[in-house]
Amino acid sequence: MACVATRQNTEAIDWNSFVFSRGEHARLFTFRTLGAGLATCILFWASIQVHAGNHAVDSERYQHLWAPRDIEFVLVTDLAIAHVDATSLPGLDQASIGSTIRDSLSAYADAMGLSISFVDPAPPCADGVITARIVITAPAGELSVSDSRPGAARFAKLPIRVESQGDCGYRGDAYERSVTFDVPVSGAQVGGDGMLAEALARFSQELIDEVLLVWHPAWKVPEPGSNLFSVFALEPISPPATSGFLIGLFSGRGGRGLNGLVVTRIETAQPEFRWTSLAELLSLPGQSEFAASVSNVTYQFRLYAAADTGLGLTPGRLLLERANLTEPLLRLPAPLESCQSYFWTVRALFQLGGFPRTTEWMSQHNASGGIAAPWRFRRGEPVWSSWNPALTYAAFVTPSSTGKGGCGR
Amino acid sequence: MKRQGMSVRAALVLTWVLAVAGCASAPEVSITRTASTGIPQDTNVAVVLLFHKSCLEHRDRTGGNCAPSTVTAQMNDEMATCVKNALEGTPRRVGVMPGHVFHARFLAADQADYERLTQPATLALLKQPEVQGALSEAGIGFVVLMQIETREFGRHTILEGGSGGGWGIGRTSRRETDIVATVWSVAQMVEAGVLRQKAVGESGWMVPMVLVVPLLPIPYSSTTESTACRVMGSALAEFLYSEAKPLN
Repeated sequence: MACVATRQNTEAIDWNSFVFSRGEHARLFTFRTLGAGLATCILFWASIQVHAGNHAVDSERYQHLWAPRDIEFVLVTDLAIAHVDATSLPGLDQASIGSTIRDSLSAYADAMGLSISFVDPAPPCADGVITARIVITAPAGELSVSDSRPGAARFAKLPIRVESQGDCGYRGDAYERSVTFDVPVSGAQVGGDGMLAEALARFSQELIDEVLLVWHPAWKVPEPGSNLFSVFALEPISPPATSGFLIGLFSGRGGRGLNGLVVTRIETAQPEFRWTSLAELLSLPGQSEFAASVSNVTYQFRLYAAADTGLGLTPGRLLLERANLTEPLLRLPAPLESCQSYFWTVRALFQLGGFPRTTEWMSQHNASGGIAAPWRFRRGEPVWSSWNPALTYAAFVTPSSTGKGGCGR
Repeated sequence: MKRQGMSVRAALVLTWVLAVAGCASAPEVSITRTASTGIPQDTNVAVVLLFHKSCLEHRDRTGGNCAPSTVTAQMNDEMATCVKNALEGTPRRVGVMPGHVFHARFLAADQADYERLTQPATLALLKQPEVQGALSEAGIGFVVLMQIETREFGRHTILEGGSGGGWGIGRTSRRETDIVATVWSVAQMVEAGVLRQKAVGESGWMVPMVLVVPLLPIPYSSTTESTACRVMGSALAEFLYSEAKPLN
């Protein structure tokens, strides 16, 4: 909507008037351009606020499901199979897709202490049971199997949509993913333990993680003094995180990531990671009523090497993962590389009324000057990928071991 | 007079544009560590460029052997200089031996032809007990095997606008240089890690024009090799000095 407004404003300009380099018309142009730009910014900001409001309403709506007894999945694969079968991928049939997704969802849910079951046909809604339909589909006209890169293996794509079942507890906004996996040129099996299983395992982890977050405490605007991590997520204490759209943009090469993220310079190659505890998060206004129902709190920590996309730094290879941490801190077993950028994140896992829950992974949600709910941009929405919470994990760069300032750059 | 001033200004603008176009950028070096380094005082590091592929091409073209002392000496020297510069002024004294010197002294007896020195073949030589003994005796703690490849692609015509009636037309292509450095620890007899670096830039030429009058064509080229060399040199120095260990 903002872009349309900009175009309409500029189209009203009399282009012939620009034969003069100075004068009223030029001033009018400047004024109108600035006005259009300002309007764009206001509309952009307003759209974020409206969406944020919607999600706040959503999160209120599902508060009554804060401790469901069970999750039931309805697995629908009929639509996809006819389409996928036409591609003659070895080992890719209805039975293998169905059993693989059940196995991978069950395995990860089991690891997270979550009780799930598969039902068919869908039962009527029951109190305390969240039901979601997993629809694997390949719409007509959409390419399901294609050549990916010249000389590389083909890849197959299975669009998967997770829908609410009537009003049985899953959020109204559908969760969509395209599960993409490589297809060996050699004609090796895709199903079984092959590429399909790996791709569906990744999908299953993401979906179960979403289910653990199916209820969000009402999210809040930034607290004074803490304007980076304004939603239901833990905050980094050390290494600290900094942010700022313009600061990040002009802080020099290697010093920024997408979305204006600033990479914090630290003094030691073996930092001790510390973050706010879940108890501190629940002590915030509006959360205290839930605090009494929380038990078995542990933390899961991840450290990534930074990958340089050419546009900025993003989390790359997963270097270290630690789970079942009982205290909100982690000491590294060894120093990190010198003059290297890293991303780190952490989340809390806990029982709420006897049901497993997690917080969002720690990341910055207002890095571009606006605030976005962390769950807003990960429902299979490719647009605005720079809002992807993973891109805004806390980033830091280690000091030089040779004592060279600026790491010799 | 006024027209002449505008033309000079136009040419200056174009020259500046070309100068900027010729800059190369180098993203962060990606590091995979498999063993500790923590280089001690008075250690020597050999930096060896592997020319397996280009030496094969050299033989095809000239029919001659790819003699390290002639064909590859200069590039080996340049790469060694990048590492040497990065180590200059650091707390511990570390010597750097260029690849062709290293080859002549330690590898020539086993393998005279550079074109056969692929990375696996060189690592196999370094694993031999007699080679390891000779390296230790010479105080060489680490051998860095470097593979460099530069590609130019995406050639297309460009049209650049300027002010005062100046503009330019030219051809440009993308230029990428990849460097992969494998660090061999002589004392531990293991690969200590692999460092990867990609520098990108543009190269081509441009004819500055004043209205319809062409000026002398200006060639430009991103110095992706030297950028990659400098950044990789710094990263290698940090890698060798670091007390880091593999995390998992």
